[in-house]
Parts: sequence; structure tokens; C-alpha cells
Amino acid sequence: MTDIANVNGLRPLARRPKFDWSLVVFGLLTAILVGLVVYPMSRLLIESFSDPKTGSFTVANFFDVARRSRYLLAYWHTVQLAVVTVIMSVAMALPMAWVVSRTDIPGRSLFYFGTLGAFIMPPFLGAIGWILLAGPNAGWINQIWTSLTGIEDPLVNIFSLWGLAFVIALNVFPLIFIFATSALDLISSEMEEAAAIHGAGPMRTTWIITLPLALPAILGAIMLVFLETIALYGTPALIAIPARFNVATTQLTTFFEYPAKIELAMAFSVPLVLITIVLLGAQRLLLRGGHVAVSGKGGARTAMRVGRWKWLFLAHGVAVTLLAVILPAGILVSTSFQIAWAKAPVLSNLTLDNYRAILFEQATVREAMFNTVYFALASATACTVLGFLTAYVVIRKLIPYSSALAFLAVAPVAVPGIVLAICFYAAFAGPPFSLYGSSLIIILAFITRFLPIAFVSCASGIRSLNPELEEAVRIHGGSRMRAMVEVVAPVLKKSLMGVWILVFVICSRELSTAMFLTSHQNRVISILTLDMSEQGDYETLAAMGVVLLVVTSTVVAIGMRLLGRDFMLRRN
Amino acid sequence: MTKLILDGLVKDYGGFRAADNISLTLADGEFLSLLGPSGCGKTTTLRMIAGFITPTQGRIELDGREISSPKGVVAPENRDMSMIFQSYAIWPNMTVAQNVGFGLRMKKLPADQIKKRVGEILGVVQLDHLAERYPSELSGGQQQRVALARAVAVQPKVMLLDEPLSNLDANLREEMRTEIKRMHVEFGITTVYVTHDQSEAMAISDRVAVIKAGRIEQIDEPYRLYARPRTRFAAEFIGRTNLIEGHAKAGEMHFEGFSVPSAEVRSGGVLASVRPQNLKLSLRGNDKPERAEGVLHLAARIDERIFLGERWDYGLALEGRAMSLRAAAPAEQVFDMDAPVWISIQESRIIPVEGA
Ligand SMILES: Nc1ncnc2c1ncn2[C@@H]1O[C@H](COP(=O)(O)OP(=O)(O)OP(=O)(O)O)[C@@H](O)[C@H]1O
Ligand SMILES: [Mg+2]
Repeated sequence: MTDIANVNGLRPLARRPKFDWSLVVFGLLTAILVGLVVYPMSRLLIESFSDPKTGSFTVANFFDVARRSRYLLAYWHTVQLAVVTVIMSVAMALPMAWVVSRTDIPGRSLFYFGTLGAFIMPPFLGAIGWILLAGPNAGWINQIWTSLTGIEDPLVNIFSLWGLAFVIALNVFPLIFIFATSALDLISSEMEEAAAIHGAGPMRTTWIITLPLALPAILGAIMLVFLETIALYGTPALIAIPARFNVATTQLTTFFEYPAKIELAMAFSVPLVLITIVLLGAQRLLLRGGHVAVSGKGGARTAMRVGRWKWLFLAHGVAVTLLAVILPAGILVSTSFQIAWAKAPVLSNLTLDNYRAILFEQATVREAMFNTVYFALASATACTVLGFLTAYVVIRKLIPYSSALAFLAVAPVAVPGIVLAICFYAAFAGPPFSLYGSSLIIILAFITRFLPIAFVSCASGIRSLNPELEEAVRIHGGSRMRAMVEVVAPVLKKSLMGVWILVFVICSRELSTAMFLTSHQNRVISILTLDMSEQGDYETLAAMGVVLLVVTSTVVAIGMRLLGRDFMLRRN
Repeated sequence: MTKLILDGLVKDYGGFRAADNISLTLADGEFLSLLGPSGCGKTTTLRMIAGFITPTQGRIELDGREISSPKGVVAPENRDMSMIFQSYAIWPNMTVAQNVGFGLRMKKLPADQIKKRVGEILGVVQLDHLAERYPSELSGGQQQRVALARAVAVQPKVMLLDEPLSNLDANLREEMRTEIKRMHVEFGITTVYVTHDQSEAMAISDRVAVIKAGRIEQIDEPYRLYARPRTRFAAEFIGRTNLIEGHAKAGEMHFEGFSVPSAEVRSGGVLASVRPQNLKLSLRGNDKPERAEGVLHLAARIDERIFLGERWDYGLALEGRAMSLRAAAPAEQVFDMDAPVWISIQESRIIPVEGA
């Protein structure tokens, strides 16, 4: 066998030292993060504190905002809206979470379907669905009500603060569901059994033991719902504007009416950002404490018998699924095939024209659909790459002060989408970049907005990887970059795909971040929805919505096939 | 010809010194083990050699070229070394053949040559039938062979191994140890091997460096390490030993009731080591034992006895002295409890060692 030792000629090939490209890449990465995060966000501070004419320091913008009662009222409405939404979404999600996690109720796995459906339903489509269902005059529920009872007054009116909260809650309750199930899953039944032995019945046990243990996680989720709601633009624009009441986000857009007052918009946004930062901080504190409370390690759980009550819970879950997914999706599908949406879907009222119109005739819709997919593809890809690289640099501490990069990567969570849009508008719309109306500005804004999600998921993947795998690459002659490309990325392929799909799906429906950045050339479906809804063009709108739903569901289905059923609903 | 020199290497983590003045020189084709208890700085030293850690002080030289110093290190990928990791670090996304061929690919060898050489190496480690498998389909021992094949395939100047056997069960461990030794004999790669298992180090190495708290206590061939430990730590870490206290004067060590000549010892308090295997026992009647040059006889009683299957482990109380010793005796040499015995020791086997 000694001949093998002689099949040699290897050592003379000893390499020239290779140039380490990784340093260049990491330097570039830092520059990109600064450009995407620090620069636009610094505009928020700078412009809100400067005089629009002279550019000198002033706090007058804040006084201007605070003096107008209309502006303050907008914030008051926002707070009311968020509180009502939180209550409604807790009422929707908590019983479902408890049923899925703790009981033996049959059919409970259907609840996952309902939650996932609500999660992938774009908020503006849910809102359109509910406008068609519960509009005061022609809404289907009211039509049926009138024909049954002869009473002309509408039964329900979606164009109200309650209606708006209801529609939002139907969209955000999955957040509470996810947090609550994962907390409940951690509580061992031994704790419950201990209470049972001391004489507490199952319902009482749930009230005094189970729920309090899961409370920190639930409170954390409530804060997220609160934040989602105050930052939401699309649904309020569709419902609150026709209902003639303003919330903070809809008020923000008025600053962009001619003549645009960016400095006031900035000053008006500052409280939104502050609330977000405070609540996110509180949420992290809560969850840290929460883990201690639920670290019951003997985590064996026996399903609880619910007896006759099960029909009630089952009915609740079915009702939520119906309201959140089946009714709005159903009305969208049926409307998309109708000539006139408010008329019954009888044969004479059915048509394929709406689809022909959006696919072949109306260039605006076709472009918006193309843009939506294009922006989502580009943003998801860039976001995943950027998140992965940043997470890698941070976790492996490859450059000095790498934890500062981690801070940059997660900082955008503190900025609501619509505020981020203003920042990007101020930073990139005008000269020297002049990106207003371009694809690039929207893609950049999307990347920034969803970088935190990508970063956090990638970081947890990389953290789970033994660094020796990369060291093995290097000692056998490969560079850092090669280790990343040939080992780290392929090994984490699944979680990277999960990140990509998640970002793709949320980009495909993102509205608030695209606000202020779109002109007629770079519109996306979500923005077009607002215009079409204003024009009352619900049939074409429904067809467009159905196409978006089909694309989104297909991508999610592929993801579930490849990555497991719960990849979208995992708590990050 | 490869020559690896570590010169006064120091690594500080904050105020903590993980490696302290490590100096050694490896000759071409030498197999050296770094042996010491957990946390003594073996991995730190090895990773400094590999270039993953920049030393705080000192330098590393390979074939006359400085590859590490506090000012900078040649990157691991440019050092012409290879390494076997404790976790094996087999890339799960590559087949066995791709794993083994990786280093060759990095050397820009043509594909057909890579294929040929990978085939040969896999033949040597008897894995040729698994070339297209993925690591998750392999057993722990097979993964270890892949790591070994991958490390030797590039014909590195230096091969580094960090406790490569610690994740294997006992049977496999011996088999893989033989395998590593066989590869070393076959390819003659200069090797640094880290372990905390003294029998492993003894069996496989040309020389062993015993490390304690970041410092090298002794570097020697395995037998010399056993027979002539220089420090108390080395004596105790390499097998079992008896330590006896005394004092030294004028080339003699004086212990309670006997003295032993010793050329190397300094005057003052002294500590000496005697291996249990060097205590020969015989039943003590009324007669004196046969006198022989350079052999010491001590009267004792069996105080404790444990049968270990292959041999006896006797605890001995010396007559009239507050001293006890342990002896290892063949299985056939049976003494009852309290039996009077003579202990015979070659004086040259009583080794003075440093250290409290
Ligand atoms: N990055 C680090 N920061 C601080 N201390 C470290 C670091 N790496 C190692 N140490 C410390 O240095 C000492 C030596 O570590 P090292 O890993 O070299 O030990 P070892 O001899 O390989 O031990 P083991 O047999 O357990 O692997 C340990 O006490 C360890 O805690
Ligand atoms: Mg170690």
C-alpha cells in the first residue's frame, strides 16, 4: 500500500496564500446595513427636529402636531381600536389554543387550518371580503337580513370602529394562538394534576393554574397584536376612511397631500415609534420571566377530558375559521366570477370577464401583479442572503463590534411599516438617489422591513451548528466564504428556505411599507386594492385577490410540503 | 522535511492563562501527543497550531517560516495542515467521497486525479463501498474513518487530532487507535494528537507532552515518561505510583529507615516515586532475604488486598514505620491479610520528582 503514499506530487503544489474575500464581503455588508437602516431612520430624527425652510434645529414640528385636536384624536382612535382588537382577538384565539394544546376534543387539528388560513389571508383582502359581507347597504349579511325580516336598517355595519377592530382581529388572532399554544405546550400536566388532586375541577384548574402559567406568553402576544394594530394602514384605509374617522396611520397619509409636510409626518410618527420600542422591550422582559414560570420539564401532558363542553369549543373554533377564512375567501371567489357583486350569483350573473380583464386587458393590474411577485422574489432573496450573512458574522464574531451589526439588523422592528416608508421617502426619493417610483426603492424598503425576521431565524439556525464544521473547511484549505457557501448554507438549507418563503409571503401582501414610495410605475397589488376599492370596482378587485391568494397558498403549501406542517406558525 | 516549532506560546483569555510558555519541536514524521486533564489547555494549543487562535505571546514556525505570532497568523487554509475534530465535523451535505476529496479540490487538482486518490484513500480505510453515502447513513466509527481519510488525503505537512476517539465506545476506540497509528506509519505525516487518556497517548505516540494548567510538565518517550517521571504530576498522571517523602543530602535520598543513592537529586526535602509494579513481594519467614547489589528490602505486612482479575493490588504497611505502599503482584502470588512479607525494590527505580 505504500504506493499510495507515493502517488504524490501534492506537496509541490503548496498554495500561494489566498486572498481572503470574506473581509471585503463583511465590510460591504456593514455598509449595506448602515445604508438601509441607519441612514433612513436617522432621517426620522433629523427631519422631525428641523425647520423645513431653514433646516435649523427646532421642536416646533412637535408643537404643531400637538396643537391640532384632529391629530390627537387620530391617536385616541388608534388606541381605542387597538384595545378593542386585542380583546376580540384574545376571545378568538385563546379558547382555540387551549383546545389544541390541552384537550382531547375531536377535530381540533382543523383549528390549525383555520389559524393558518387567517395567517396567510392578506389583511386587505380580508377587509374587502368583509366590506362585501357586511357593508351597510349592499353587504350580503344585511341583504339577507332585510329579505328575511323586512327591516331596512342594516344588521351590521363594517364601517365603524367596532367593525374595523373585528376585521383586524380576524387577521391577527393567529399571533396569540401561536404564542399561547407554545406556552401551553410547555406546561406539564403534573401541575394540573396536582391541582386536581386537591379538589379542583378541570375548568377551575384551567382558570387558576394553566392560564396564569401561560400568562406571560399571552401578554407578550397581546402586545404584539397591539403593535400590529396601531401600525396597520391597509385595513383602516379601506374601512376607517369611508367610515369618516381617522386613526394615526390614515392621518399620516394626509401629510403627503399637496403641499407635502414631511417634517410634520415625521414628528407625528415619533410617538408610534416610541410606543413600539417600549412595548417590544416590555414584551421581551415578560417572555424572559415567562420561561421560568413554564419550565416544567417533566413535560408529559395528558389530554384533558372536556365532556359536554366540547361542542361549545368546537363551535367556537369553527365559527372563527368561518369568519376569518371561509366567508371572506368565499365571497371573494364568488364575486370574482360575478358581473355585479351585490346581485345573487345566479347563472345570468356569472362571468369570466373579470379574470380576462386582469390577466389580459388591464395593464395596471397586470403590472401590479407582476410587480408584486417580482418585488417579493427579489426582497425575499436579498433579505435571506443579508440576514444569513449578518447572522453568520454576528454569531461567529467575525469582525470587531459584530454585535452592533446584530443591533442594526433587528432595529427595523421598532419602526412601523408606514413610518419606515416615510423614512425611505425622505432618504431615497429625492436627489441624489431619486429613486421615487422605482422598483428598487420598494425592494430596499421591503428588505429593511423584514430583515429582522430573516436575521433572527438565520441566527438561531447558525447557533445550532457546530463551528467545527466550518473549521474543518478552513483547515482543509477552504476559505471562510467557501465554508459559508459550501457547508453552512447547504446544511441550513431548510431553515433558509423557510425564511425565504415567509418573507416572500409577507412581502407579497405588504402595503404600509410601499405607501408613499409608489407612483403609477411601481404599484403592487396591495396598493392597487386601495384604489380599486375607492372606485367600487369590487369584481375585478376580487379576481385580482383570488390570484394573489392562489399564489400565496401555493407557495405556503410547497413550504409545508418541504419543511413540515408548522413552519409558518412556529414562534420565532 | 517538515519541522514544526512552538516557541514560548502563551494564550491569555482575559486574566486567565490557558496556555503558558508552550515550547516544543516536532521532527519530520513524528507523532506527538498532548496529554493532560480536562481544561489544561490542550485544545487551545492545538488550535494555535492550526491557526484558529492567535497567540498572546510566542511564535510558531513551520519549515523555517513563521506562521503564528501575536502580530498575526497565516490563515488555517494556507497552512498545509489538516485536522480531525472531536465531533468529526464530517460535512453532512456532502457524500463520503466529496468529504474526502474536498481538500484536493481546494488544491485545484484535476477531477480525475481527485477521484483516483479518493478511491485509494477510501480503500485504505476500508470505506470504498460507502463512497456515495451521506454521513448521516454512517456509524460513528465509519464517520471517524471518513474524517481520518479526509485528513490524510491532502498529504498535509502536519495533521492535528483533537480527542478523536472520545466519542467512540471502548471497542471501537482501540480499533480506531490502531487505524490512526497504521495511517501514520503508512504516510509518515507529522502529527499532534490531543488526548486526556494516558493509555491512548502511550500506545500511539513517539513522544508525549504532559500538560498541567497550561504548562508542559514533561516531554518524553512513553516508556521514559513511565519509568522516569520528572514531576509529581507526571508520575501520578501516567499510571499509578507510590510517593514517598524524605530529604536529600550529598547524593543520597534519606527516607524513614532507608537511604537510596541518587546522582541527580538536589539537597533538601525530596519526593520520590516508585511504581507499584516495581515492588516485588516475597513471604517473610525468620530468615533474612538474600542480599543483592542495589536492591532494597523492607519488612511489611499485607494491610489490604484487592484482586483485579489479572493481578493483585496489595496495600502494605511497613513494619515499625508510619508508611504504607501499594504493590502490584501477579495473580498467582497470593498473600493472606496480615501476612508478613519482604518488599524488594531496585534502588534505581526510586525516582525523585519535583512538585509538592
Ligand atoms: N474563548 C475562551 N475564553 C475564555 N476561556 C477559554 C476560552 N477557550 C478556552 N478557555 C479556557 O481555557 C482553558 C483551556 O481550554 P482548552 O479547551 O484548551 O482545554 P482542554 O485541555 O482542551 O480541555 P478538554 O480536555 O476538556 O477539552 C479552559 O479552562 C477553558 O475554560
Ligand atoms: Mg479540548
